[in-house]
Amino acid sequence: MTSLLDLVVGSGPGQRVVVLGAIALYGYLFATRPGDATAAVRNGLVLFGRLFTLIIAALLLASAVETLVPAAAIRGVLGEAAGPGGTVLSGLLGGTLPGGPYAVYPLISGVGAAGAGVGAVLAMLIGYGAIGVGRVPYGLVFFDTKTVALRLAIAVPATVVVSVGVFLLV
Amino acid sequence: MTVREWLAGRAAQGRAVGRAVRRQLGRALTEIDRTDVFNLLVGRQWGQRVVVLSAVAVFTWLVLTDPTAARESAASGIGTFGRMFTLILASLLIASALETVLPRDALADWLGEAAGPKGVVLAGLLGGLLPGGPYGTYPIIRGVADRGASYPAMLAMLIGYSVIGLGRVPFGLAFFDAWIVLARVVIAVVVTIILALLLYALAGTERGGRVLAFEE
Repeated sequence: MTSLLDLVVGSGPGQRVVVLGAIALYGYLFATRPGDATAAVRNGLVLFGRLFTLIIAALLLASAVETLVPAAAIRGVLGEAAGPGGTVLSGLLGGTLPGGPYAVYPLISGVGAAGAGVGAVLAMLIGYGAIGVGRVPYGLVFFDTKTVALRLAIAVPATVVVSVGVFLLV
Repeated sequence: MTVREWLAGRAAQGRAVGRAVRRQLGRALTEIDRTDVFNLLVGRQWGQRVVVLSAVAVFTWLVLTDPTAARESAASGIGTFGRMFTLILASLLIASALETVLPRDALADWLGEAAGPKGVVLAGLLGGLLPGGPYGTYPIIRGVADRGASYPAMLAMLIGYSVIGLGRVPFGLAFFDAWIVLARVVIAVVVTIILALLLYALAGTERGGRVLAFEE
């Protein structure tokens, strides 16, 4: 049975670091820069409101992936049995996932829980960060096409190389 | 004009104003119905909409074909949300606080002056520290370039922001073991340094120098 304390500050050490870190950060901010602290709380809550359905949808999709896709199929395509090709595919697939980490991380976690190996999860996380196809439209707003294309041209081979490295090391 | 007529006139005016207010409110509510509520439910950006609509499609299909699996998946997803609620909120609040207190101008001035291989590597690593989404971070990186940073430094910063993304660490801790999050960050820092040095070296060649330069 989950206790109320676990529910509030999290049951794992990582979760507790984040929750208690947020409390400490805002404690300091409210004491030293109350105006900025109030603005940050407001912005954070507005962001949470805007992302609410996205977060719920991502968590539901992640649990559906575990239910719908047979573990053997995921192990066969992305798991260690798939060889370096599976890890590279994971990295490149990660690069195509749209949305912020609050949406993508549950999906990657779901794929991992459904049978992909640790290497595939790491490669997906790296690919999602490095390639991030979803960031291209923002890039085109602030930079020229050459810069956006160069970023992708560097990110794709880097993801492939890192994925192979992760396969060999993990 | 009798008092009764005057009162009737004011009452008619009051009713007209009431009707106009109701009309405006109705219009406003219709607008809210059509745009804000839709955006709130489905998302403002295509990436968000893809995820939300995919979840709706998958669960519709699951409910029709395997209601038990649909119920179990939904319960599992909602359960995860319940367990992660404070964590997700804390992650978003941390990201918001970092965005609010970041000294953007000082950072841009500082990086604009940085030069040489150390400057390019520093730009990449500092890019990795930038919090928030690209809509908040890309203008900062653009500002760094406008304040005199070299093209390789700007590109290294873009790469560092993408690969390292220290702001993603709290979210990572919510869904993965700490060692996976740590491994991701270590790999990302190494990759950013290597790529930044490669960019600097390439920019020193004749052909690379032409490509890795701001367009006129």
